[in-house]
Amino acid sequence: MARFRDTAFYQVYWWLTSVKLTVVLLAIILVTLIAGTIFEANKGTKAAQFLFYNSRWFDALLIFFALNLTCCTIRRFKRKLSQIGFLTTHIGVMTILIGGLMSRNFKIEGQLIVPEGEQRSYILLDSNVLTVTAAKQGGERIAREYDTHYDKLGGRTEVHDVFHVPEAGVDIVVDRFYPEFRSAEVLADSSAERNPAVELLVRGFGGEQTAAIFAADEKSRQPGVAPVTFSLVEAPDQAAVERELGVAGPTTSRRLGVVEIELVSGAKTEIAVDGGLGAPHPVPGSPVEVTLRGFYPHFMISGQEYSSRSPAMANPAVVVEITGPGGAHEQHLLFSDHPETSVAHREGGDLSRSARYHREPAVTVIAGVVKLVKGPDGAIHYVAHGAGGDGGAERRGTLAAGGEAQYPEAGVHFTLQRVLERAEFVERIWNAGREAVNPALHVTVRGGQEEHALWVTAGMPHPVTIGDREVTIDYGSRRYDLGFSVQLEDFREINYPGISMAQSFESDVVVTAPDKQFSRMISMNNPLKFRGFKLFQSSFQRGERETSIFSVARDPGVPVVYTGSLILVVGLILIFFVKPYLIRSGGQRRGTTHAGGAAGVADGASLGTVAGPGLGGS
Amino acid sequence: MPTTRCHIMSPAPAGTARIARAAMTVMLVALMAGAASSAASAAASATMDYSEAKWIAVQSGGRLKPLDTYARETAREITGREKFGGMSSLDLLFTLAFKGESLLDTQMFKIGFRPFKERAGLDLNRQRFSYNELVGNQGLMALVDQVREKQHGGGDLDRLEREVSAVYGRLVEMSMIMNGEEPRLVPTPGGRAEWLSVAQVASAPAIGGQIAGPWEAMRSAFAAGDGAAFKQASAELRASLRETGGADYPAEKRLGLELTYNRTKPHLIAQFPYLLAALGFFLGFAIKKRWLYLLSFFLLLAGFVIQTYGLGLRTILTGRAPVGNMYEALIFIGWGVVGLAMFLELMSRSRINGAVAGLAGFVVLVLAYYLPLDSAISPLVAVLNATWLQYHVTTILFGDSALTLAAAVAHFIMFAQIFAPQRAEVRRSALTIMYRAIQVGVLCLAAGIIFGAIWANASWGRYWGWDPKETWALITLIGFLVVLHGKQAGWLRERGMVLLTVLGLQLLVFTVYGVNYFLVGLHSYAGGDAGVQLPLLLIVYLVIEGIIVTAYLMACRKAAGTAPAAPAVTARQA
Repeated sequence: MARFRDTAFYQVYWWLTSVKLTVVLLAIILVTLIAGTIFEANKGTKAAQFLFYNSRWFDALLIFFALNLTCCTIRRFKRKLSQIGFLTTHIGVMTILIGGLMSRNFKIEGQLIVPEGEQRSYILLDSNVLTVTAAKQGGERIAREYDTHYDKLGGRTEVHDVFHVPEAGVDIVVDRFYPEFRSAEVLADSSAERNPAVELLVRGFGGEQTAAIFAADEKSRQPGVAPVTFSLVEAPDQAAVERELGVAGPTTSRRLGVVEIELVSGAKTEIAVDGGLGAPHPVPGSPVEVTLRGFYPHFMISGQEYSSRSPAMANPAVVVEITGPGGAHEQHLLFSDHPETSVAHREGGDLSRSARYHREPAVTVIAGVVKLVKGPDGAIHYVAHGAGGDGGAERRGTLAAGGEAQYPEAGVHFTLQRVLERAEFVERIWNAGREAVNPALHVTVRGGQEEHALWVTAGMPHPVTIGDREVTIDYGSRRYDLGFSVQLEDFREINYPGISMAQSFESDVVVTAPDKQFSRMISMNNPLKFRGFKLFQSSFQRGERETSIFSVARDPGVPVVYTGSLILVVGLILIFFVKPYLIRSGGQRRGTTHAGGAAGVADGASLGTVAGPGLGGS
Repeated sequence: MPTTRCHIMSPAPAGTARIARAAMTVMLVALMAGAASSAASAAASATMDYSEAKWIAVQSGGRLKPLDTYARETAREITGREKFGGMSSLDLLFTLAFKGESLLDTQMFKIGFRPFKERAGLDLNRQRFSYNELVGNQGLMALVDQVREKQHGGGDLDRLEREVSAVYGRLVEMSMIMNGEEPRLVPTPGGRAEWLSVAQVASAPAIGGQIAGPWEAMRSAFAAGDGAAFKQASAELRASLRETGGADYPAEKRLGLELTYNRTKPHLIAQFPYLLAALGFFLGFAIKKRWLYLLSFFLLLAGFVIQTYGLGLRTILTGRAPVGNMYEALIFIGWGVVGLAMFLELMSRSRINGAVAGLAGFVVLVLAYYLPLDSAISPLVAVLNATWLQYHVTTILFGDSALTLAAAVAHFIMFAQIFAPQRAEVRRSALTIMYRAIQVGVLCLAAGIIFGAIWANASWGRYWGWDPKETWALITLIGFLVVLHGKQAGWLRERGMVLLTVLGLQLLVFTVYGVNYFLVGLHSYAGGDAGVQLPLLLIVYLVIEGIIVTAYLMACRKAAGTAPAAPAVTARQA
């Protein structure tokens, strides 16, 4: 025995039994975890998992710790009843660690995404692959998959990988990864041909948007935030400017409705709101005149004034003024959709018996037209009309770059941002974030003398023709075939009464396996278990059709971890009850020399409470 | 002139929801205000009798509650407190509903966030602003539009924007009450449907008469200041609402429990016996009288019983363990600290438990009361609505209680070292208690983490996911394990253990509080409602803690210098 004690093996074992080593390891794990959470807050969850929690070195640290724990336990266990809690606790922790290792290596976890009415038989795993499909000589197609981990680099965009695909005779070079790929066409003053245009920032009831208006109208990008159409005309001289501004453009019949007035005398008149605003209309057979003072398609009160919230015909109102002899005067605010709420205000006697405003319900939006005229000096003049009725609703002005124009009748104002001579749209690509929201790879395909560069966005196969053959490149989540399919019949979001806060989500599904078919409801906290897989309601997407998202897992480590947890908890309870019991009943007793008296329990016993469910994870 | 009737003239288009309607109302009511007399007379309602009205059930915040609770929550939301300017919350509610115009110029809205006031162009030296001032403020209303647009586009709001949105919500709330669109007290058939307000049913002939009749009677009684008539009319309204609701109407008994909870405020009251008990126990170190000890223990017990009663009521009202949000977590920790300490006190009779726990309980309850936490009883987010969650959170919080107790004892030891260095025996028994408390904490924390893992596996299919909150729970656990094993290894003596326990408290505070604000994760939808003063308070606390620790270290050095024969108390003999 003495000899054995001299061996290096025993030395190592003895070193491993040290409680001081345990303390050091605990401290190292603690610092690591703190660093991990801070790293996660800065670089994202996937990166933290990849570089910390799921990394091999973290594995090694935990295995080292488990080893220390085991040796410590073996050395200290003296087969006394008082140590039962200490021993149980340790066995519990070791079981949990083993279960965690099993989870890490054998767990399958992914997402099952099913729109209503459809069925899926595969899940998407967390790992992303680059799949290259090519036709071999002879027509047979081959597919090769390459593992990637670009999405776990915490938002790093510069990468470098070369994948050889000998079957297809090509090399695939990946040199950039954009986690949140965005592409947009931007207006640039770089075209080879002359192509005048202006760039406007348009603010309407729908928000803010940049619009590009070309003299060659078909190229224009009209704003979607307000139903206003812009056009641009070039005028060679001042006279042409005047001429263009005078011709405001075609007016369309917008059928805004009719105001009907019946006077006390019985005389009646009808005035069309289209074109009827502003001018006084005499009522036949009476000395009374009717004037339409204002039209508000989406009536609101702003400050002390009437105005329109938008040009949509959401709540159309007209203000009608009726004047009679002797200063008699009435003003009506008429609503077509809500006649019962119309208001009359009279001074100097009753003129009218009734005043009504009808409209055809089909018209929902009144469009305005803004004509921009570029003068010989480069100044931009504009005339806006069409919204808010015809009379008096025209706005004119001249804009320099940065100048702003108001067109309140249509609920819109716009700023002239740039005047371009050689305008064209250029595609710009950029990365907008570090989380893999819409990941894309920049890939160069090389085959023979040819080279072809492209962006491969996730989830969509990109065909490339190189020489005489076609290669398809696909980047996305690795799929795992479940061996059965899940069809989503219905998804429901159940709210707490009276508020829009979800109490639960539910999905009705039909599961089809080769030998079996059945219906089930899966709801939050109520998963479906089938063929070793558990399907959890994890989230959903709204849309025309609702899409249910289940997280699917098969984890052989779970029963082991659960067993370990049970042993651990039993052990912890034993620590608290067995020893005091033994002490009280005059049984064994040790460790009383330690400070605090409580140490009777301390004595390495609570060593086992380490790290609950330590390993594991996804 | 036409403007005065506009709020009925422009019904909202079908798609745009209540907010749009309310926005319109806000503007219009503001206009009304110009004409209305601005002489606010709050005192008129002092004679009202709300003993019937407060029993009326209201649907709000996703659950059914008595009008009394609704009034308190509304008063807190609008004015920041339950009583305002001599008015009770029910006074305020009914004054808004029946004589809203009298409050339009009352400086009621508490706004403390300085950047908000700067942006809106409000008087920086004032804390409270009137409805008219805010609604008439062009800068603020422009901000509101911006924020709504951003929210609509799905953007994340920054601090100022959240504040704008909150203030706007308070304005809308007030205007809706003034227009009779809130509270929603008329039941609709089917348990889940949205209840209606008085304004909404006034035009429905089937039930309108039964509801609107008594409501108008209440209005005139309120205007006349006739308390008896008001009571009678509210009794009538209450009866016909109950009849309308039928089986869906909440049981009288349940409403009664909530009224009791509101009236007694157990968690506020319990502060006082805790503080007195702590003083008693501390005094006991000087005056070793049996009656004083018994009295102090009785006080501690009284506070504990009051809090138990309060937590019990909350459990019955919510139908779940009272651990749903930060407020509940804090009062639960306070309760746990005292409960555990009483148990240990019964074991050891050392006074230290009592003194420290009384003080800790007091501090925690004061924090729960004064921090801007939402104390309303509210429903849980879908995923949190599970049985295992309750075991998980309850166990974890009990562990947190034990560790809080340990940290409190650590402070006791530091003060003992600073102010009474000669009494080593007190420190020695305090250390025992601290060690015990850490053990209990570690046990509960480990068990709680395991319960959490079981819950996670049941809800997400993974028992561990390195979410920041769960990782930090593990970090706290490991931190205290280092304390326990450091002592076992012979590295830590009294001073080391005390210092590491204080350090452990920082881990604990960060886990419970900090993670929700600094590191975002799955668990954070449990919190997110602590607000303004927190960072400042935290800094103040850290500074004070630093001073205490420095003083303690100096005291230790001094003790070692003067009496080298009796150094650290934990003379380890192994």
